[in-house]
Amino acid sequence: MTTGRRVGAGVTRGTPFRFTVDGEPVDAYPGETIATALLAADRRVARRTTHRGAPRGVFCAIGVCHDCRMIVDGEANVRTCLVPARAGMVVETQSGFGHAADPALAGDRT
Amino acid sequence: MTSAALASHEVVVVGAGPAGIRAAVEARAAGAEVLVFDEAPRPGGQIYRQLPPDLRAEARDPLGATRTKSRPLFEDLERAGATVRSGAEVWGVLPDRTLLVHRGGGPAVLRAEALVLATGAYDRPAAIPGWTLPGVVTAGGVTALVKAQRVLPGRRALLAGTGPLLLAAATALVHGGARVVGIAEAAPRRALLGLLRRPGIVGQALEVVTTLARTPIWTRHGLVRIEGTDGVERAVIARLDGDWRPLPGTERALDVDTVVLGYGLVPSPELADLAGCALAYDAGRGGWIPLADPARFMATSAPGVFVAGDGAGVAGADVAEAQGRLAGLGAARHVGRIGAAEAERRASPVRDTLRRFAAFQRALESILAPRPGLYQLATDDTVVCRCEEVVASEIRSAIEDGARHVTEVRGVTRAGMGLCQGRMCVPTVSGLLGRWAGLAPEVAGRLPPRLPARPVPVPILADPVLDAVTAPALEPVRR
Repeated sequence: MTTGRRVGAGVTRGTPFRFTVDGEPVDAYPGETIATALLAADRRVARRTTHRGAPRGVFCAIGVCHDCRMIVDGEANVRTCLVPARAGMVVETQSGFGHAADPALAGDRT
Repeated sequence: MTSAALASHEVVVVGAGPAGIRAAVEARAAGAEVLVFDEAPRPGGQIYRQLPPDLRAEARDPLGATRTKSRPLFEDLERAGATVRSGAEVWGVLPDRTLLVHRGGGPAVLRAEALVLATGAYDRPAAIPGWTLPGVVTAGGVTALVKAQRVLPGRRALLAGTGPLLLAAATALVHGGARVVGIAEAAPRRALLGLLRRPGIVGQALEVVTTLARTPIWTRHGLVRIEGTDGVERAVIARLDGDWRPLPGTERALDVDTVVLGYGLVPSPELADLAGCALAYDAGRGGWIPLADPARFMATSAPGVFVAGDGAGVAGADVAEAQGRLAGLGAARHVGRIGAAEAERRASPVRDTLRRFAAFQRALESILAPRPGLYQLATDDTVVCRCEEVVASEIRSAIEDGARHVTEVRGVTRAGMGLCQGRMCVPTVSGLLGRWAGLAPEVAGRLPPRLPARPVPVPILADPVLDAVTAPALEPVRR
């Protein structure tokens, strides 16, 4: 099922570029945030939560809720609704706090 | 940049939405030196958020309707000659008006002779079963995505909540080409009509009515739950009673991929709280707000600290502009750029404007005050604290064990300890203290203000430039 998509009317976009999400290419236009490019590419899950492994995506879209956090170029907990996409960026779905698996954090509350 | 030395600035404005911009312009017009900090890449705040420079608006832009209102703001700000620092997070204010700022790599510490806090508001969290699923987006978020990023979060949307921002989000979605299956509005129809008392609303109302002509608006309706596996697939709505409780037997399921939550706004008073301003709870204006009076130029109880806009009580962009003007005048007077008589003279027409909005404000307050039914929707396993994944049954256990304040619930459950710093759960925890312990929000309380008011990287906190000013302030956190 397709969900997100770009709105065509009213704006002129620049030249699209590519970055990768979990190894797959995603297109973005200049001025778009990472979250925008992902929504337009039908990717709604930004991360899986620490304790329950539940999917989360863009919720507040203004940088308050921190739910759209992903790993960007190796840096965890980047709010993708705020950060512009850049060509060649490497974005990964985040699990928990984005560190290597920590048994002390995993599955302690289900 | 490494670190800036502690410098003093005449008037500092935090936030460049309609309130902050008007405060800056007014203070500049009175002759004050003005420095504006704003966290967004460009001024405008949430309501007048601008397109990024790389997305150029065309002459005929169906999503550019608010530009007729925002353009004069930006032009005035440009002409005023205030120093605007975008992309700057003010993560702390000390009671002597020392500001802690994070902007692109290094910390900055500075002192304001007069400080205007125009920190805005964010969408009220609504802990409804399924509200953490991808595809559930806030009304403010939808507006930001569609208008300022030109992307739709989904194709088939249900909107639920109350108030004018819900209609604004629906309008944006329809203009953007989404299918809006309906709007579940908790308020009764006659309450909505009260919003028409806003001066200058006619053109805008006409636009909304025309755009939403084929969109069902179900008044006295609300969400019961949202369903799906890795994203929204279905939403269930029901008819509500006057306290927003779903009426049994009225449930209806809708196939949607997107649910928009717009249960009003919550002011962001964190910086005012840190600055030492006295706060009070005001349900109609969104929650805890700094006490301030237009008759006293929106001065707070903290000397030299002024507030304006939705962060000082949710009342919309027009009221925000007027309050911003008053706060700017108050700040200019505080630093001695204009005398009391001249400040009063300039404030007089602004106060007249505010009086014209009084009837609209009362209508808005009656619609936006959350009713107890909002806090009856969470079932045992509904997430209340999105960051720490604390569910409603854990909150209930804490309350059954004697917790009687949001800080006590936090201590037992971790609700409010996550990255959002309680913004997404504390209003709900407060409501649940009402549901399970019968406490009024004033009694359930708020989290005490803490540095940093925004998450900042550890190297920023560790920068020696901060030691002298923040060591005493950080002490309670270290303990």
